[in-house]
Amino acid sequence: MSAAASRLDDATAARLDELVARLPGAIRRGHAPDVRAREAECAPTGIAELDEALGGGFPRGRLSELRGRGSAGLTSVAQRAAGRATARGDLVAWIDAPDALDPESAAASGIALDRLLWIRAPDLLAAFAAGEQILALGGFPLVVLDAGLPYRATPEGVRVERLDEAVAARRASRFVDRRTGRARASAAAWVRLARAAARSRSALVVLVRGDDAGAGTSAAVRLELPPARVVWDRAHGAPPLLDGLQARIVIKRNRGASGERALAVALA
Amino acid sequence: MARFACLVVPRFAIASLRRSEPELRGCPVVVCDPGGVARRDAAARPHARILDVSAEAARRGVTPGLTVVQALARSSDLTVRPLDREALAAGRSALVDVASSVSSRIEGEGSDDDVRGTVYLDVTGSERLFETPGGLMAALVQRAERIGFEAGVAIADRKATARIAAGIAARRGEAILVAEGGDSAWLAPRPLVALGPVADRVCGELGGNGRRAPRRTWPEVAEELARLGIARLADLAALPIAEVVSRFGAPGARLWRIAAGADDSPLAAVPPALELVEGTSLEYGLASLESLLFVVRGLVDRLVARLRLRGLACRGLVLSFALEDGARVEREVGVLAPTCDVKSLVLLARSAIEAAPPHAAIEAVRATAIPDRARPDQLDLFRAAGPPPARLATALARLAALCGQERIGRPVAPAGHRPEAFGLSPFALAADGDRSNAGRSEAAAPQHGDVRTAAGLALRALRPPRPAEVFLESGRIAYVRAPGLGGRALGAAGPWRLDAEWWSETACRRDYWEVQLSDGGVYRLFHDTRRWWVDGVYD
Repeated sequence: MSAAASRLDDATAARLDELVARLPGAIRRGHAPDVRAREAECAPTGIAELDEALGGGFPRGRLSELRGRGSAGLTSVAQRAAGRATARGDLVAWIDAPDALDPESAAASGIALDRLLWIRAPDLLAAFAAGEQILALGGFPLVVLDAGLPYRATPEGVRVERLDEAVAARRASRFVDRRTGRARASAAAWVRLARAAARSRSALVVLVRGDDAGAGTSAAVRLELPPARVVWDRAHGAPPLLDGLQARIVIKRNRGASGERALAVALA
Repeated sequence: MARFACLVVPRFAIASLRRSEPELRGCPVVVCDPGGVARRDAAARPHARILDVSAEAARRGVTPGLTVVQALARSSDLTVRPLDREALAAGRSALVDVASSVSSRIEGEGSDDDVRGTVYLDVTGSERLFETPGGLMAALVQRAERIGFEAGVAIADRKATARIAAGIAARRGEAILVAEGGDSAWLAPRPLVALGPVADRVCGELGGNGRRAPRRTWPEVAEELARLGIARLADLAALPIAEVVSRFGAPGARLWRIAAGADDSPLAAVPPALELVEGTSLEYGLASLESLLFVVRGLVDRLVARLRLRGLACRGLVLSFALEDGARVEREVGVLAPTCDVKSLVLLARSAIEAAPPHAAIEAVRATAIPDRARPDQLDLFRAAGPPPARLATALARLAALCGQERIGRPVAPAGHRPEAFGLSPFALAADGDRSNAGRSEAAAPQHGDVRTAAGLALRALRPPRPAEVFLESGRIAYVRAPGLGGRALGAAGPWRLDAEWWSETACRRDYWEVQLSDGGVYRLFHDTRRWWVDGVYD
């Protein structure tokens, strides 16, 4: 390489310094961290900043809770983690109580669908039971449990409830707060799920919507996603295009670490 | 020299009955001729003939051939059951399964109403699999026990010798090995009655020889031989064959060859049936699901035991019910991946029956298992180990029972261009050929491609789409209201037109919009030719 080619202009050098400053300390010191060891302990989220903050990703053998409402970016974060896992060749189980997974969108997020087990649980009770079974089975390094409630519209008969659905709804009634209509799994159910995760060494990621009751102290990691800023591309006077979300992730709990930490993440 | 084994289950009708009703073990039981009437009425026919008796009933003086009334007169505590043809046929094929687990050349004996349970198998060379012939016989007895039969087994050079020896072995509770080339020596000291099991069949099949030798049954032949002073098989074999033929015809010649250890009748090998069937008739019509599942569990249990003998797993079940009103209905039980887990199969059967319960009480149940190869557990050098295939199959079966068969699987792209369309295919671990493609999802990903979605943003589908009211101001979306959501529009992009399936009656012509509402959500809306819908939220 010639001396001229190796010489960097000031802007490039500054940019490199900035990038080096963002590298983890071990790399800056010239020692690469044991990535394999970290991945054995954690399921990476696919978002570098979040992985760094969580010490590698969602911890295996623990329950991680993601909470948010509306378009906070909850599903995007979970799908990125799932995409990262399947890209590594791992199997991922997606337990979908609200029946909301969109396969096209999941594939666009990088999930290899041939390594995704999609369980469209009819209600929250079945979702928890399915979660325990999958965790007991093992072999799924990442298990995502979307703990939202399935939508059941009563006016205009949008969904005609069949008998089995009615039976399922009745079975699941103890998972629904009758007063508020929100999902309300008992603390015992969360503890059972967390214990099942501990036995399986799988990273269990639970998506909780809005004010639904969450895992509480059973969660080793708790992330809250406040409403995201919607990014519109209005360049050149053309009609606007939805460009993505500028999400904020607040780490409320991270395996006993004290203090909150907020991250800004672009989801686009 | 060929070697034949014979597997005999004594009192086969009773053994088959006890196999389907284990609570009858140890009870004095007799099986009577059903005589073409319904099963629950047959036992009440006083003049029905007894076809088979248990050892306990035999000790009370009850023998086959008596009527039900005569049998009850000798022992009032008898349990009388009509012949269960379903159980008998299932028992016979189960016995064939036992034989086919050690040899590929098998001959089953007996017709539908035949109460004998006998299987011959060619074991030439098979003993090497078990180190010794004794090991082979022990394996046969053990496997027969596993499917609910106490069997006697013997090995000899001739089929008939093996059959005679197996009958004796069954009575003594031991296995008999007749040495190679030693058939005649082993048979010689046996009494004439030892020929009984094979002689019945020989006399029945070959009949008489015209006027000089009219058709005679084995007891008649045996009586005449006894009158002639023939007490042992060696005595019969010492007679000149020409004299035997002139007096007893073709059956006599055959019996002479058997007694001399020279019967060379070949093995009529029949391949075992691919499907496994177990069935039982019920004493009275069942109308409750729990009672029915108790019966189904027994059938599935026995089917799985037979599948294991073949080294296979269950890929599906077909349950067939004979109803009280004479109708017959079937329920198919799909299994996502081959499994041998009885609990999962029963759970799936429960789901199938609950989804469409039979309209009348059930009088007979038949379960047919569709066999498939159990998936081997093979580790990969370059990928993380997934769950063991056998356990995965079991877990999938349980999940299917929990959530529904159609709600578990791997998402796939269905034919068509509708964005809401999706399909599920059975989940399976990637085959060897797919392993190099880890992480490449193009083949499996749905590729609608007609509707623009914000790249990298996940879409949560709203199923089914919610009808929406959309208020426009100056042609722009200003306010959206739908069940569970609503607000002022803060931003909107669109329309993205979708015009699919225009050639069909259900053409899909929609304008899609992405709308940010003041409730904090960014929704995907579409307007078809009639109204607005919300079908997703970006998250």
